[in-house]
Formats: sequence, structure tokens, C-alpha cells
Amino acid sequence: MTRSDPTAVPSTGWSERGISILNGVVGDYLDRRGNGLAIPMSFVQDGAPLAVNAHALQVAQPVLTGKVVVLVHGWCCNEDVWRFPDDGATYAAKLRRDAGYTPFAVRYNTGMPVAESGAALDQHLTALVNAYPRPIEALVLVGHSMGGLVIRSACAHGAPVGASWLPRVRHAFYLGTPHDGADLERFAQGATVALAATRNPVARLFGRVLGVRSAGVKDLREGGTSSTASGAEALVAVPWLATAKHHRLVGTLTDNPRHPVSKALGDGLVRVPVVSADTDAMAAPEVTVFPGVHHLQLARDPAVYAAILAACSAA
Amino acid sequence: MDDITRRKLRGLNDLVIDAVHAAVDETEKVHNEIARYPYAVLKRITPIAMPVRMIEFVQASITGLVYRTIRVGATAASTAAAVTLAALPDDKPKP
Repeated sequence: MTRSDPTAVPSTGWSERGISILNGVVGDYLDRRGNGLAIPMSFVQDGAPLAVNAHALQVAQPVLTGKVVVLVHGWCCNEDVWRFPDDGATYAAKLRRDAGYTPFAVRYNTGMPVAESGAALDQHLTALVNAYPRPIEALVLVGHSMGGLVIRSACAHGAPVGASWLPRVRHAFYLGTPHDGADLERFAQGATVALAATRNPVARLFGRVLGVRSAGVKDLREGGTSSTASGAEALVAVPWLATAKHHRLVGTLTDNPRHPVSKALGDGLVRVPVVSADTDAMAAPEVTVFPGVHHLQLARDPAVYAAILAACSAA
Repeated sequence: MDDITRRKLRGLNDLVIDAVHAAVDETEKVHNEIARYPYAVLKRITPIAMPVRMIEFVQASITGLVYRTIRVGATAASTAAAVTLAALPDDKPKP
């Protein structure tokens, strides 16, 4: 990778990726214990947290335009997930080159409940809009996997208090986001319950170990994005932000989306959604299927980027 | 060493000791559960019930001591690592 390429972004390295995986698996525990490995949510630039004030933003970005794109990664990942393997480019950096967007990437503890990550993202976006040295005319949010749920949760947190960033959101892209729940987590929950119910002490031990997984991954089971008022674990679906265009970009394991494997497994982790007739038509997301693009590849695929660029350029 | 690296290493040390304690607790629990079955059967045989109880007591005492030793050893190693980390010099400010 060469830094002369304006879209290239440096890799964070194996240790940071390892810490992100650890946060995804037991991040809520790390946070409760005040462990130094817990990742606090922040915007990141070249692998380091970016202070959200006008001076730091001007130093970090060569040009601050009126159009901003924010990338939110998924479970067990960090901003490395957005890097194309061949040239180190990302969707955000490409959008800066091709459409004049100023890019920001978020890093956070993916083991925390989605609702808490959503509340934190709401605060960070508010701080960004307030600190940005010029008015933001268009804000584009791109979430991969769990990141899409965090974006929806942030919208749900910001809406009741009239968050300053909400009216600026033009597009929200959800790449392989399990809005309807993730089968793998349902399987893990089923296995946990089944193992705990056995009489064999070793099997029960495996059940307890499996049950240790984080609140964040458990939230993927039903695709929940918002805790109830009681703060209990029960989750309720939140409405789509009515003022933005929503795009669900989903992949399939095989080149033929109608292949039984693709129907059963989708992109490997998230199935292709069935569009329901009773979905709120005003804000219903547009679903685009990318055959042969697996779950992680959705975060760094030329065809997916082309779709994002086309949508952003259209309005 | 910079503050961020020190914080992460301290976090790793804390996590490892938490994991060791949790693993030892769970292993001891499963060990005791498995050992209980044969003793329960043997204790129903009246002529050998008393010696079986004594053997069970000795076995439980020895295994309990082994697990406690592992916990104490791990805690001591973790404390030593934390003290070493705290003693490492800070990065000198760049001129």
C-alpha cells in the first residue's frame, strides 16, 4: 500500500484486530470490569482516536466538505474491515475521491449491547456536527453487519431529542445487517440452552462457556436495536428514520441467489430478507442483492461500492 | 512505554487472571460432580461405607488444595506482572 494513493488507509495491525475480536466476544465484561482492553467508541484516523474539535478535524482531513460519510463496522471487527485487500482503499476514502465526501470511521466495543452503542454513536454524531467547521449539508451512514443495527439504534436515540445530525442524514446503507436476526446466534443460543439442560457435567460446562458470549452478539439474535424503557434485555424493533433513504445491501454465497445454499445461508451469516407487504412504505429500505459476495466481502467489494456511489450521486 | 500500551497490557494481565480463576472454578466444579457418582454408589454398600467416606474426604481435601494452589500461584504471577508493568519507565517526551 502506498500513501500516495489518496484512497489508501493503513492497516491497524494484528494486535488491534485481536483486541477488537476480544471486545466482540466479551466486551461487555471488559467494560464492566473497567479493563483497559475495552474499546471506548471514537472516530479513528490512521488507527488512532480522533479528537472531535474543529482544530483536530482540520488537521486530520485535507479538505472538509459539506458532505460527510461515517462508516460503522460490525461485530468483532474494527475499521480494517473496510480496507480493500489489494490497495488498502475504503468506501469512505473512495467517496472522498469520487463524490467529495469527507470520511470518518468509527471504532467501538462490539460486545456492548447494540442500544448502548447506538446511544454512544448518537452522542458522537452530535459532537461531530457541532464541532465541524462548516455546515454539513449531507450525512451518509454506512454500517456493516452489526454496524447497521447501531446506526438504526442511534437514529432511535436521536429522534426523541431532536438530534442535530438527524435531519442531515440523506442515505443509510446497511451491508449484511441482520435486521431480522442472525441464524448463527439463534443456533448458539439453542446450543447453550440444550447443553445446560443435559445431565452430563462436561456438556453443562460447555453450555456455560458458550453462555459467556457478549451482550452485543446476543442482540444479533433478533436484530434488536433498542432496549425497552426498563433497560431489560428485551428488545423492540425501531422504525426506519423517515427523512433518509435506506438501502439494504445483501450478499449470497453462490452466484445464483435462488440456489438452495444462498436461500438457506444468505451471505454466510445473514439471509436475504423477504420484503414484507406491511412494511412502512414511506421509509422501507431498498434491497439490493449481490450474488457471490459473502458477509465480510460486503464491506470491501467494487460492486457494492458502485451501488453506494450511484445512490449518493443521485441525490 | 506509553500510557495506551501500559493500559492494554494491564488489561490483558487482568483478563488472563480472570480467565484462569474462572477456568479453575469451573474445572473444580465439574471434577467434584464427576467424582461424586462413584462415591455415592460405593457409600450404599454398608460394610465399606465408612472407609469410602474417609477416602472421599481425603481426595476432596487434596484436590481442593491443588486448585487453591493454582489460584494462589496465578494471582501471585499476575501481581508480579502488574508490579513490573507499573515499574517500567514512561516514554521520554520527544524534543
